[in-house]
Amino acid sequence: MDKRDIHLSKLITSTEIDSISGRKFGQDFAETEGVLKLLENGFIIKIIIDDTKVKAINDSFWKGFLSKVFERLKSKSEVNKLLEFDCNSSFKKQIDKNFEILDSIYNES
Amino acid sequence: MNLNYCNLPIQVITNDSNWVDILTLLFTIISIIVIIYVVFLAKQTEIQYDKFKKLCLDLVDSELNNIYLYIKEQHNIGSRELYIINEYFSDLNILFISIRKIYPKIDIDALQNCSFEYTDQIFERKDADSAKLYFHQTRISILNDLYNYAYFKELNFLQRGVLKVFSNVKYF
Repeated sequence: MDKRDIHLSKLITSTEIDSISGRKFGQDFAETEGVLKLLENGFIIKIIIDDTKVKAINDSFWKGFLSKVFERLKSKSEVNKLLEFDCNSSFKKQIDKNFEILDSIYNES
Repeated sequence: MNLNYCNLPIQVITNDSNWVDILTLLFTIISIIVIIYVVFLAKQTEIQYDKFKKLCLDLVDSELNNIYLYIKEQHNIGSRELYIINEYFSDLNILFISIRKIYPKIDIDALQNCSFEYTDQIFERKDADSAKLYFHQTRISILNDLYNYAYFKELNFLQRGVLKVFSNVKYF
């Protein structure tokens, strides 16, 4: 399967900003990057977080960014097959927690 | 000796008296049953509230306290502080998920939205005073949602009592 990279550092538009937040912001970014379309077309998405530029991301952003993906794929095990993360261990821990939260919302079984 | 001075039918008086006795007895029995039933429902509700308090309210309150203790100590909010505060709220959201496993009707979205709104605000403002101020609002909203859920949905004493009575009526 082909891979596509999405760089979250794209969202850092000024040197004064080093954090990312907001559910709507996350939703809009997922739409701009065409996350669902890429998954439908069989791509694996690699999300890259450059920790020299991005220092903090809130859960609200992750919910906005990932909720449509979870709505479609339902469980975190399915999402894990199609999304990869290139980031430091702190962000990985945060993403794991958010996967847990989203799985509980969308995975009814 | 004739005691029936007014020539009243003695048999009728005795029958009336019996009916009054029977009605009084019936009323007393029904009252006792109602009292026992009300005491039973009150006790049941008390036990359920106690369970809700220990498994839900106390845990959420203690998690919120931990967050407040951290925020209170901060004089500046930078990206490191934002990361840590968000991590605290992630743990709180994981706690909400555990609570929903026991109380499936709980509106977990509303609770999570309170925490998302809070972190959105402090990520936007990056200001220690706002972080403290908004935290109180968030804490009140979360606890208010939990109390409302407990009293009006999960542990509604009156509604539960009435529903139970009506559900039993069909057996008579």
